[in-house]
Amino acid sequence: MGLKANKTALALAQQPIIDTFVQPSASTEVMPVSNVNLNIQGVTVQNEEYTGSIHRNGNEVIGKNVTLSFNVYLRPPAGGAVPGANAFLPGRILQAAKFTENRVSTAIPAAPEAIGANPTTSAVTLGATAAATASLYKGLLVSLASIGATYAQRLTAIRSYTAGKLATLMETLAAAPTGNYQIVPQLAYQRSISETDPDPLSQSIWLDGLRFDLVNMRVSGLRINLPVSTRQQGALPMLEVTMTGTIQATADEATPAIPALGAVPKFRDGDLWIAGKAVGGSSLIIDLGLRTAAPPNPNKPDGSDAEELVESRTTITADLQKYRKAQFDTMALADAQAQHAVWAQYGYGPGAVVSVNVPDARFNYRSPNIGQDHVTEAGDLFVDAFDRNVSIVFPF
Amino acid sequence: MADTPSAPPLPDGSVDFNAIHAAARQNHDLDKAVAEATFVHPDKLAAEKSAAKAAAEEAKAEREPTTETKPAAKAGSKES
Repeated sequence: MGLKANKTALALAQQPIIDTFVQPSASTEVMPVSNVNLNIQGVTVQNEEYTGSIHRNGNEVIGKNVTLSFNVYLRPPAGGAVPGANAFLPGRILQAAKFTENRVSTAIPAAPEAIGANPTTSAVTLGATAAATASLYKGLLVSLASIGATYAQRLTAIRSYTAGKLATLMETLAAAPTGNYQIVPQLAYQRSISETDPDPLSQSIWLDGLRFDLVNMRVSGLRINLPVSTRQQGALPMLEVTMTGTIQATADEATPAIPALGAVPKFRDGDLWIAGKAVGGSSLIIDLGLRTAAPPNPNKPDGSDAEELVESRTTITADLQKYRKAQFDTMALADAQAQHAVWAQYGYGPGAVVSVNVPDARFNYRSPNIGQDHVTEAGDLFVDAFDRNVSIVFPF
Repeated sequence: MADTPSAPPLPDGSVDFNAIHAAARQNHDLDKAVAEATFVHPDKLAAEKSAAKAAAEEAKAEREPTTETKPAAKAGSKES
């Protein structure tokens, strides 16, 4: 009887101490993933000895390189409220990729209050309860009562924030806002550019009754893939994850049951704003450009210390509709090399909205694609090393 | 840093934003507020305490031979 691929499960735990495996719970720390690939690559070196004949000895086996790749559909946390520290399992992966888990458990202010004077279609001054601390709310979502009829329509992302309480937005509103504002409760994963290495993960992966325990697992690749669902075709927004580390142990153990988490919000009926314009397109991909390496250390069983993050270079790939010059002139934007916001948001009620934003990105030149029914345009935007330069936010 | 006008960079880990916000409203030291609002895993905390204790003991051990040699030298000089 063969092992069945569908009976695959993944559990993960944060590992606060390097080289000390933390056994993830097979009941509370198991999460649904897809497209799992556990790659155990033997590392060999050629034996150059002469044998006195034309026949050579086989290669020396040095060790093994282990990578685990999988996809996680992008769902907000269940439970209807901002979860406790480290409780959101996909958030542990994001933390391991140097995102800070920023928990706004209580709305600010507790009850919506009036915005300040002189709002415009792209900026609003927050009211009395807001703190006068620059950048404090950067990348978070604020609800403006006058800009929409529904919960999701009222949410907009803060691109920058000044000590004068001026919040610049990532969208251009139809009219200057009026009335109240509130920074709703939200679980925000915001990219940190601090010098430290985040904690790695310990993981267990089951392949139909065969369990691999993986230690010192670092995120060596992370893409936030937001494909647009259309009338004709659909795809699910997801995190595409690659992790690198070491096999701690193996054991025969039945694959645990994986909880069903319900429908995945689709990227439609929402917002895709780039450089202050609502633009059409088929996908938005944010690649964190992570790279890890393991320093050599003969004191360790496999001759290496644990993997460490050694580089991150963030790039956005946006497959967009092509627009006329007067509407959206991407060549002029690439010529100017100024910073522009990228904001994608979709979903409906509290606890069911996903919002991804990059406050500052620069355009590369983009090439029109004339091969299909509509002219499209593919190309990259580059993200510089600013604090909070990528945020994934789940509002409640 | 008590009157810092700008939010400090985000640390690794999980932070309680409401605590940071409350500190910002009261003009408290935001670097300290971020450190206090950051969740630290109990095992990591224990390991850090243990490492700090070991370092303190090592430093104490390095100091002790210096204090012991002085009385010995005095005793020697009296005998001679």
